[in-house]
Amino acid sequence: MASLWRVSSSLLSRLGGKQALATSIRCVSTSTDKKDIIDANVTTGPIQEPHRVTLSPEAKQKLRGEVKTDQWQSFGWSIESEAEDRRLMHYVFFCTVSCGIVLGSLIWAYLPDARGLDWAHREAYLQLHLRESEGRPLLDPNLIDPALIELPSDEELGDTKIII
Amino acid sequence: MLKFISLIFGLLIMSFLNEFMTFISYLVFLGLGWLFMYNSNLVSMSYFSCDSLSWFMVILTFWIIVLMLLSSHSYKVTNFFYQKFTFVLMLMLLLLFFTFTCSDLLSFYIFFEGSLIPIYLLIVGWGYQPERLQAGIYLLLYTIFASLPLLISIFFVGDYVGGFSMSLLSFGCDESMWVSFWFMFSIFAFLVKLPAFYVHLWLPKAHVEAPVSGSMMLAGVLLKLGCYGLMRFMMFFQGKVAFLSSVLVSLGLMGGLAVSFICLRQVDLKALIAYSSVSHMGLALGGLGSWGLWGYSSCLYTCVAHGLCSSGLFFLSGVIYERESRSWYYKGYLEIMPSMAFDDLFYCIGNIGSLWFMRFMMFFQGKVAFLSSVLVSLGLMGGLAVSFICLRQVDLKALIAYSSVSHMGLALGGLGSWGLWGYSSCLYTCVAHGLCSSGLFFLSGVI
Repeated sequence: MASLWRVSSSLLSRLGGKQALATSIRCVSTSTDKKDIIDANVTTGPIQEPHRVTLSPEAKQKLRGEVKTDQWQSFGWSIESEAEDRRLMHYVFFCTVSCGIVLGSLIWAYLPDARGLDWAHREAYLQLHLRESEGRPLLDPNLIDPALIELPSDEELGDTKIII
Repeated sequence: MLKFISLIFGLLIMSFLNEFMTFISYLVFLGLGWLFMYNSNLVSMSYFSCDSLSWFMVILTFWIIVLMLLSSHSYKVTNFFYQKFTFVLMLMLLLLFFTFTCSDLLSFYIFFEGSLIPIYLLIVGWGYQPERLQAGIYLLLYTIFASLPLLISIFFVGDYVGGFSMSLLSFGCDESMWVSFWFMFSIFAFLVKLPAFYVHLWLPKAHVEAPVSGSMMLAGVLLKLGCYGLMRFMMFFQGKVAFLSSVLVSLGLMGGLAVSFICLRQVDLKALIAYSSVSHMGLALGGLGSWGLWGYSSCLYTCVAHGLCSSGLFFLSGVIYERESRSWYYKGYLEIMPSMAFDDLFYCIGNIGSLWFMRFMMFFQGKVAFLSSVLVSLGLMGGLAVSFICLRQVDLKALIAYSSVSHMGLALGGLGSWGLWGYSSCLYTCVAHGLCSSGLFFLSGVI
């Protein structure tokens, strides 16, 4: 962006503009006044390299979570005792998630032939194979002997709607 | 069956021993034991029975009671009558267990009414506002008034089939006279309990005034009592009242639609979830009214899914209530409590119902199969078109939103194919998408 500005201003100056063009503007503040942005390590004068923030060993330990403090965040089970709070949290999650959801799903998934579904599929394939080998139709249209079915007569039916 | 009942009696006695959180382990292990009953289909002439319908309802009851205990830990911390609270909870568990497993119609009626007592005690004893007294009265009077016809109908059915056993109900009704009136007489109590539109007015009051645990129980299990009763009773009437299916379906669906518009106006979060519960149960009623096997099973799955989802939403509204002292519709929780906001989003996606569309399709399957080509093309081409819009997005959230539309288009395309693979692909797309997009939205909020 700055280079484009310089090129265009040099072109303009060659075209005849004798006005003082702002060719050397750099939009960088050099003021030493207090700025809005908070800078932790503001120093007046030249910047010293390398500019790194150093942490004390205690601060590093705190960041890594290795230091136990008096401040503890309750999970909601107890606001007085941290031990009680953690104990109940582990207890409830073990019972509901590990036992209830995980173990329950495991039991449900591996229930032996739930509601006879596997048996029904197996039996169906066996019957199909048997009927194909014997040359019989796969599905007998007269599953129930028609002679055994007693249908009402037309007079008995009258205006009754037949819903199939 | 008796081992579960004796253990629940034991828990009832244990509620006098100043225990609170230890109930959770006992209930979880009871529930795990109940899982093994999945294979059973005890339809005998003994007092208790168990089939798939009862099994789902009982496992839901166990789970909701655990969640109720978890959400009410503050009663133990502040020593607010927590022994009586656990007693009421265990009494509720016992009565609901009896309700779902008894094979006698009259016993079912007694326990159906009996389960009103613990919920009334919860609302009046642990509710927050003075309006809870009126809410309790509404709850009691609506249900008791509506269940008087049910009692008369049970005596009539018992006289007709020669006994009160539920297994006798499958022999069906041969009377053509007054059968529609008899049917409406019988199911009115369950329609109030469901609640169907027009008789749903007790629910927003009861839910708003109930404590968190009470709302979870109401939404999670007690509404399903209505569904359960309907599903049992409809076996008796079967084809004789199939012409009334349009009445039930329209009551369910149009009532659900009307109530969902009322939802849009709500300021109170609990009232919003309560009205959405009415809408979902209307959908379940619509599924039942279709008189098909798929509609019947869709009602059951809607009950279970809604029970889990609504309870979660009520718990989250309780979290907000604890912090704000009112459960109004606050914004900006992603900044303050991002984990809770993520959970809220997850449950709201579940509440929106990635699955509702499949339930709707289920019982209309045969009639609208000609629309399959329309659905597939709309789904796939629409999804493709929207994915091009995705490429132009700068805002991350808009990108995720458009991609969601694209994925749902894919799910719709799968559904429109009317095949088993298309159906299951839609299911998995919905679940996977629900998880993924909620995660993406959460991450976009973090960024």
